[in-house]
Amino acid sequence: MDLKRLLFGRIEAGVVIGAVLIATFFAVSTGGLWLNSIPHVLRVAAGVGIIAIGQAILMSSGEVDLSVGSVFAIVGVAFVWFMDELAVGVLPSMVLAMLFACLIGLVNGVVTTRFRVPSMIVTLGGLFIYRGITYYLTQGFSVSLPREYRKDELVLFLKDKFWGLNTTVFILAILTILFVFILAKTRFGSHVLAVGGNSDAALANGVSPTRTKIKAFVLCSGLAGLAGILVTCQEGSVYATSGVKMELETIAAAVIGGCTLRGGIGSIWGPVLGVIVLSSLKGGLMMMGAPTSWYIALVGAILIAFLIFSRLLNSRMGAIA
Amino acid sequence: MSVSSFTSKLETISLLATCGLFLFFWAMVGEGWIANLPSLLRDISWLGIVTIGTAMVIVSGEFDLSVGSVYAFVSMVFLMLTQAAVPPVLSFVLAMALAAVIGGLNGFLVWRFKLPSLLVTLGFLFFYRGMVEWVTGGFTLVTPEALQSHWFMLALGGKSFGLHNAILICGALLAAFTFIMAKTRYGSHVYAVGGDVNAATATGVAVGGVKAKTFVIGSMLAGFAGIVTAASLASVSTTTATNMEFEAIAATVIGGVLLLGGAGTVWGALLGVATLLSLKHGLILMGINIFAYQIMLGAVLVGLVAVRGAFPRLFAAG
Repeated sequence: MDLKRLLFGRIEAGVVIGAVLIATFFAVSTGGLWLNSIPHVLRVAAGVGIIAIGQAILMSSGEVDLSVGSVFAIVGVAFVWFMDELAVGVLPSMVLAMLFACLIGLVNGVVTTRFRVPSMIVTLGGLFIYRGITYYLTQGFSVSLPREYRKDELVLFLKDKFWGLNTTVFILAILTILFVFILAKTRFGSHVLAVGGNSDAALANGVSPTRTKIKAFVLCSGLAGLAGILVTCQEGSVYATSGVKMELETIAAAVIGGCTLRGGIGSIWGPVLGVIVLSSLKGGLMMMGAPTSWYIALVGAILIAFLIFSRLLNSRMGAIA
Repeated sequence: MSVSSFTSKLETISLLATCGLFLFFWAMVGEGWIANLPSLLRDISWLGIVTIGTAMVIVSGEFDLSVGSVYAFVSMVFLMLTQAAVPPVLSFVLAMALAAVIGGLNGFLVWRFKLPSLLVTLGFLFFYRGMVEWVTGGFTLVTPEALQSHWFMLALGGKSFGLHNAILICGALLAAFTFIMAKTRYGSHVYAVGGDVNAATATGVAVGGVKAKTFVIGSMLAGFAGIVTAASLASVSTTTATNMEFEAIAATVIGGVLLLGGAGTVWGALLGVATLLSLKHGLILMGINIFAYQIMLGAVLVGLVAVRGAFPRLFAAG
């Protein structure tokens, strides 16, 4: 095995190099102070990271979901609503909210595959619809966990920290490992990659692109909803503007982490690392006293630089997956 | 002339939707709806100028997500130049040159490095928006008092014959680009490149050049719309035109342009803008919560495209 290929031949090479560079830069330029902020960076990254996993799977199957940010918000609102109006307790409300999230994914998937509407249009519509409903339900403000449930054991557990890290960070870690395994080693994972790579060939081999894509849509919305529930528990409330532009952030992270818009190749830990890189960039810039507007400009610059870099790398090294 | 020769046109759905909405809101709101028409037309023109460019980029088989940020960035540069006492006409020329460079860069990156335009322009969406936030510092820029009655600002932002000049400008641009797309060599090349790149290359169309030109036109129209708006409102704010890229794409698709390129017209896209904004103004006039507009926008977008997909024989499949 040639060392150069081992280092640069993987689709995640770019994000790993980026992570090392950014960590070194901030650690050195803030004199080690930045290292203390890592738990906070991870706390911010946890919610977006969970969504990026779903986005990565969906992008591997050759589709894209622009509605994740709105789903994130509306499922958080629905979760609070179930607790408020139905008064069924925390866990049943969570289950109901998750079912709602999966239902959204199912609708996205069915409209995309059965009515042959491009997924970008379906989920762009979803972005507007669910955001509109969220605004409607919150009246433009925010909703908070009902008082009687704030001391619920499950909520306290999700708010808690272990070894200085939030529970959500551990959940992100577990989900990352789980989905790395699913994508690499299970039948569903292979089907996702096969359908994304060449959907006609997959069909000819007895893999239904329709069913596989619908499952991927359900997973993606489900994970976005899960992130919404977890973050609502962690922060105590959900705002009308929660998750705005999150669809673009997760797509950027997925691409930086090695996914492509065309599908057929994909990584789970690459996109998660991409989210962590982007949020450490945000934290690090704030620490150095830079205006927050630099962050958004830099995300753009990094995305473009990364695309060019990986294109050049791929043409030199002939690297695929 | 059979029914299907009418319905199979890509633009039919948005034409019917616009007429339907017009009559519906006229019936519901009454006089207020007619009195509101000039400002509805003005809003249609502002978004419409951008959408002409978006439609052309989509017909050529690419995407431009950066139009909203370019709109804000270019109009910000224009106002800053006028504040620095540069004559308005020169400021305009410089700002448009900047827009052309932005479009050229999009086209260059997409073609030279064979990068997906969706991602490249997503990057620029973030980049230019961040620049706008940084430079304005979150505040609103205002045109200098002395310049607000300058003839050039009035030509772009004023009124003549009781109509906003933006409407006339948009009409002229619509006529020009409909002609260009339908009757010139460049227009045919745009359709050819969007329909089948390989076939276009094989027949000797300079694919890269055509796409780059389309990106330049797209960014220039976005910047121009920004300047027209800025001249009319005499200000630009940090959040100007956020989400405009999504609205422009939604309008384009409702107006019958195929998302994958190769088919559709500029005037269809403008009808899509009319559909969306009639809905918005109508709902506001009826006193319905503005949040309902977002919900309707999403539902109309998915619904119209799904109808086209569900009845491929009646409507040209989308």
